[in-house]
Amino acid sequence: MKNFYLPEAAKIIEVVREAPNVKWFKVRFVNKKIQQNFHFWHGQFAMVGLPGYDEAPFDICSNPLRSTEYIEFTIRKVGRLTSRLVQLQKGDLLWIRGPFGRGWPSLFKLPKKNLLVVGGGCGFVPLRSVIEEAAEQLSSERQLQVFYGCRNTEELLFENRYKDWQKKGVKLNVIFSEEKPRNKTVYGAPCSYGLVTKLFDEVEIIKNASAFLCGPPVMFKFVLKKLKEKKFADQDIYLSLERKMDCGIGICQHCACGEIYICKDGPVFNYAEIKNIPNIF
Amino acid sequence: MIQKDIDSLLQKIKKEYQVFAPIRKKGASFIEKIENGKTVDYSGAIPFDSWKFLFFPTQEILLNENFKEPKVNYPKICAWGMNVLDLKALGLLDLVFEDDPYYQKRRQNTLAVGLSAGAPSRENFEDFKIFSLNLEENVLEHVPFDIFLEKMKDGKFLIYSGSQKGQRILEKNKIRDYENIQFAGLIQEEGPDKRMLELQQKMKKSFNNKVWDELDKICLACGKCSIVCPTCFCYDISDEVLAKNEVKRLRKWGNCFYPEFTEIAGGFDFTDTVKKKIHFWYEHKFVRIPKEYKVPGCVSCMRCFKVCPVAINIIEVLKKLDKSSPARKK
Ligand SMILES: Cc1cc2nc3c(=O)[nH]c(=O)nc-3n(C[C@H](O)[C@H](O)[C@H](O)COP(=O)(O)OP(=O)(O)OC[C@H]3O[C@@H](n4cnc5c(N)ncnc54)[C@H](O)[C@@H]3O)c2cc1C
Ligand code: SF4
Ligand code: SF4
Ligand code: FES
Repeated sequence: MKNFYLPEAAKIIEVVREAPNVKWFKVRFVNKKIQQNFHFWHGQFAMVGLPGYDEAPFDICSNPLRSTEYIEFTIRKVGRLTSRLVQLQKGDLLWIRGPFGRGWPSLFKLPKKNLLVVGGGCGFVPLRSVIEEAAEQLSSERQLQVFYGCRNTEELLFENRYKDWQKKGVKLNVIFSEEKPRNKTVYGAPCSYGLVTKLFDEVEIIKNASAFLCGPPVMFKFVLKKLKEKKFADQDIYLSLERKMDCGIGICQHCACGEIYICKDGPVFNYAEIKNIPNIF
Repeated sequence: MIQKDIDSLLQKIKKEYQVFAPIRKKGASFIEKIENGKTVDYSGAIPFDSWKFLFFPTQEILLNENFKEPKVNYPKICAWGMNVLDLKALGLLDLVFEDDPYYQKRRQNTLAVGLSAGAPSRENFEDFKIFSLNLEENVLEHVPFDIFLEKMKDGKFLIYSGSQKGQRILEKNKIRDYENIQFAGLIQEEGPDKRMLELQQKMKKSFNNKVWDELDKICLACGKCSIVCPTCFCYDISDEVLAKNEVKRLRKWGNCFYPEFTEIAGGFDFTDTVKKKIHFWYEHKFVRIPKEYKVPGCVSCMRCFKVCPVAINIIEVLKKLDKSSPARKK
């Protein structure tokens, strides 16, 4: 019987300070076989922990096409575990179990050819894996537009990836909510000032697209309104939700809401599927 | 079989197992480890607390100091005198923890001995009847047990075996006069309980029902109901640093009424009112469990009502939900 509570040790092979309280980690499982057989779907999460500090859910934010070589996490310091995690250095160990949950749907199975990705703050993290993977699969037939709302330049995530994404055809727009940008672009991406919803009025939205969203609950409310104005159907909208999680496998009840478990049935949901569940956001 | 034979079977089992059984104290029944078979309460009364701590301990070690599964000699435990409702609850736990190695290893070393005595537990069936629960002919086919004792009106017992383990013990003790029952799963032949399915639909749409506003005013969110409930199984996982700097990862009983159960970093709590908490509790029993396991998440034992400091009666709550809902569609 497989023991779902048994974590695997992974070694940190690279660390980048992404923002004042945010670190990005590239890690590799100590056991080579585990790494070679590791597969995850974009939008899935893992339980990451340290002995004595418990464990918590974190999105695997790397390109799923590289899952057998390494995986990446981006961690914001907010409490006990994350304060310890962001202190870790190259060579240190993390304990990982997963991947868990249902991630973003396959781009090839969506009825709409194109994709609009909208991320706010740390909600940009779970969208990175889908951007990395989709960027490699773009063509004149399949386009990817990314709206990223961020507080200020200091808080900007993954800025060293923008040029590469753009080279691959990703249409990226950044918008700052707390700082008027000095230039028209930031790390090569066009940028402006305001809330992420403002981009819907400033930039032409790609046609025939599904939308993937992640961000704080208030962002959902306003972005959903904009998407409805732009005639996106409920079933073409997907969101990644957040809850407290202990088991990650649909048993402990911490992440439950209505008839669903965010850990097992999500964290990604189709909007049509959850919009009538009370207290879902 | 007469009481003397049952007592002697218990004595034999006690040689191999730690036996826990209901003991009558101060007008109620409590589950305790017994030293002397004579103190066992055979009245069939539902004990104050539930049996779940024997199968799902209040706290257990998931990972040892090396972050590996600890090697444990799971004790041989006999739960002696579980009524049919409690066996139903055990059946649910068996499903919930089907893939849980800790539960399964512990469970393999337990012996579940059922007991029905008609009269006192009929109080529950008649006063509080909600699901089609009664001692129908085939009820024993739909609950897990190793041995079952049916106490008749004349004080004699009928004996059933429900597993090979049970059968072996009976044979070893030269009990030949028993009937074998084959466990056919928790769900009756006719399929999932219709009342349960109707209630599930009602519960799903009930958040704005005034029942929850009424409960919001009286429930203390003390969580006692969840502690005694045989079907409540939620848990927390946390690390504990023990004396010699040894960290162990533990699983402990959780309680959805307690603060922090659904709180995330930054202080946002998805169940930040009593209304949301009690609704969450009912949703687990009447929406999520029926969806996943096709059985009700409540066995109507009424322990929650008996323990509740403000006497919230789950059956009354369900009746109110039933009445105040608009006429059934379709
Ligand atoms: C599906 C999912 C993906 C996530 N991905 C990321 C990510 O990629 N990067 C990132 O920085 N953060 C992510 N989070 C949030 C992250 O899990 C929390 O920041 C983390 O749990 C905080 O732990 P702490 O001990 O530092 O905080 P504390 O506040 O000290 O936490 C106390 C306890 O609450 C629980 N908890 C607190 N906040 C959360 C939360 N938001 N979600 C779940 N449990 C929580 C933890 O289990 C912990 O045991 C994600 C959350 C979810 C649900
Ligand atoms: S025992 Fe009663 S008061 Fe306490 S949480 Fe349960 S319903 Fe509320
Ligand atoms: S009656 Fe109360 S204590 Fe008994 S199973 Fe139902 S909810 Fe749990
Ligand atoms: S985290 Fe345990 S049920 Fe979802």
